[in-house]
Amino acid sequence: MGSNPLHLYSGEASPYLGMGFSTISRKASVSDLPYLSYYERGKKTKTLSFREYFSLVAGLNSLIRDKVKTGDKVIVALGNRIEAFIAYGSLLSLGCTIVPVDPKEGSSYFEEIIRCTGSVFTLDHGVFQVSDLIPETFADFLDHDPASLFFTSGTTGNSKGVTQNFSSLLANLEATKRIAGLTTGDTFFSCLPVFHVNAFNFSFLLPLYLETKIVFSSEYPLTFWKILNDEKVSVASLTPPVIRLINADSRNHAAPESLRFFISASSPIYKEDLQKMKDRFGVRILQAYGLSETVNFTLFNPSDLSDETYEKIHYEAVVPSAGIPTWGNDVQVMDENGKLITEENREGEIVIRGWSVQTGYFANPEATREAFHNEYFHSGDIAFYRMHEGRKFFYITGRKKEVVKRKGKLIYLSEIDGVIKSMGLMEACAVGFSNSYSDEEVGLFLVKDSTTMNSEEILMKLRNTLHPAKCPKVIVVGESIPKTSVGKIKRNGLKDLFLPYQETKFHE
Amino acid sequence: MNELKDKLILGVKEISRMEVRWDENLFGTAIDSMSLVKIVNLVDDLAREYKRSVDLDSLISEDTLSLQDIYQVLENGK
Repeated sequence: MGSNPLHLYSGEASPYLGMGFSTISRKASVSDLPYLSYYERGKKTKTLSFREYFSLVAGLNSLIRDKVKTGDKVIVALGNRIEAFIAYGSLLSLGCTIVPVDPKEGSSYFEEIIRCTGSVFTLDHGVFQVSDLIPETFADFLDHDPASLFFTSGTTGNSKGVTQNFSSLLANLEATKRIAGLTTGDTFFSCLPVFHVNAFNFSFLLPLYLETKIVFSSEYPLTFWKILNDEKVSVASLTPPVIRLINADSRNHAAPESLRFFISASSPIYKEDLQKMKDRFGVRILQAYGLSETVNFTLFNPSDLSDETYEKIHYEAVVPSAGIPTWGNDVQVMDENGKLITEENREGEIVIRGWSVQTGYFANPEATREAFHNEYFHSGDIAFYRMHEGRKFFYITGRKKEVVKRKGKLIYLSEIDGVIKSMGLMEACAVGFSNSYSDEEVGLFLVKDSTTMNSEEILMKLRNTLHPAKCPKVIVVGESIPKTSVGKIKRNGLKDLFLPYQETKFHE
Repeated sequence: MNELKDKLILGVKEISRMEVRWDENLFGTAIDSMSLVKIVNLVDDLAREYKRSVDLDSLISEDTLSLQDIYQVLENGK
């Protein structure tokens, strides 16, 4: 990752090249500051200082040292249990590559990951529990790359493995610290899946890097506000589905004085959710954007925005801004001919290069060639930018693969989702489906009993708001919207429901 | 069956769109997070309507939460 333009930022190589987990662990392992307050179903079940945490890591190292060797890829299937935090620290300090996997995945998925990675060992709840561990003095400082291997969530089908080197992780931790203005005095909160790249970095690594306390709940706690108040939380990392749970809680709550802002990432946030949070609690939500291929946060709405700019970037455009590029990342919008777009408001594909961009997909040269070329990583996300306060704010309007091509015209499903949500239909989404007359058409999937409006009323309202070509032509009602564990809609899982309309001729 | 009990049972049934047994742990059922939030809202509304002093945060921090638990707290307070 030395002089390849893909990994340069402002023409410079990363200052973190060659650094590993020891950069963090050497210092943190002797700190008596609080590291982790762990909650299960609203109750605090464990607290650990950094030193206590690393003592348990050393205890696990003793337990598994004869089962793994440097360079091994080890699957961790511990979900959001406290054991996951200990397993990650252990594997990094033993020089292994962590392969975090959602334990709820089926056996065929595990078999596929084992086949693909050649992993011979899986750390799950059958291997150890925190109560089994005998604390020891931490002394393992072995560094090895890649540090982690994340398999993408597979919203569009097959999963791809992304290897992450530790220098990239470090660059992104520092970038997050800078753009959000984070300090050792902060207290973080998270309840997101720690086996995904977002929480892996924010909940597990960032507190170690900053020596900051993390309050981690194994799931969304119904006592969310009580925990934030009791623990004097200053920054919480959330996703739009979690924000919707918080907004749905109608009890009287007050945000703690310590709270500075929420971070929202993993899927696009809607203006209605931002507004509700602001009106009720006066809390700012800073939307961020990132991918496994670029470690974590590539775009981030900075914490130093004036009220005026905060309003503008969230409410003026068709979607709220996903932020400005974080330190070490060169982010651009590229047209379909591979030319960088230099005008504001013109849509193209987001492309990224810099210190957090990875080298490619694990054992998948074809996918690597497709995404990593022309000196940039091609994200597959469609966006435009606008200048505010002399900074380039990006607005993500859709995914290249979540585009419907109707009679030769491109329609972005996320734009339709935004209109659907603005009508108060929070449990609905746009779906593209094959149609003999239009090539592809737009339909609407609606969760049963989620609204008092009938189908005709919904379609009428949509027709009054959207261009006729973009307007969903048919509504299919079902039980639930299939989503990944971080709330991304799996639209492919809904397409078949529209098969009966393949031969239907719709009128605009 | 009294009015409060009726409102609780019907309210939970309407929110969860499923039959919930009187002593069944809501955390152990297929009830999703959003429905749980709405059930807590319902309990809060009932407590206010029937002027009962309820420590909801303590109630929902227990390992188990059944209609019976909720009703007892609504009836007897705390």
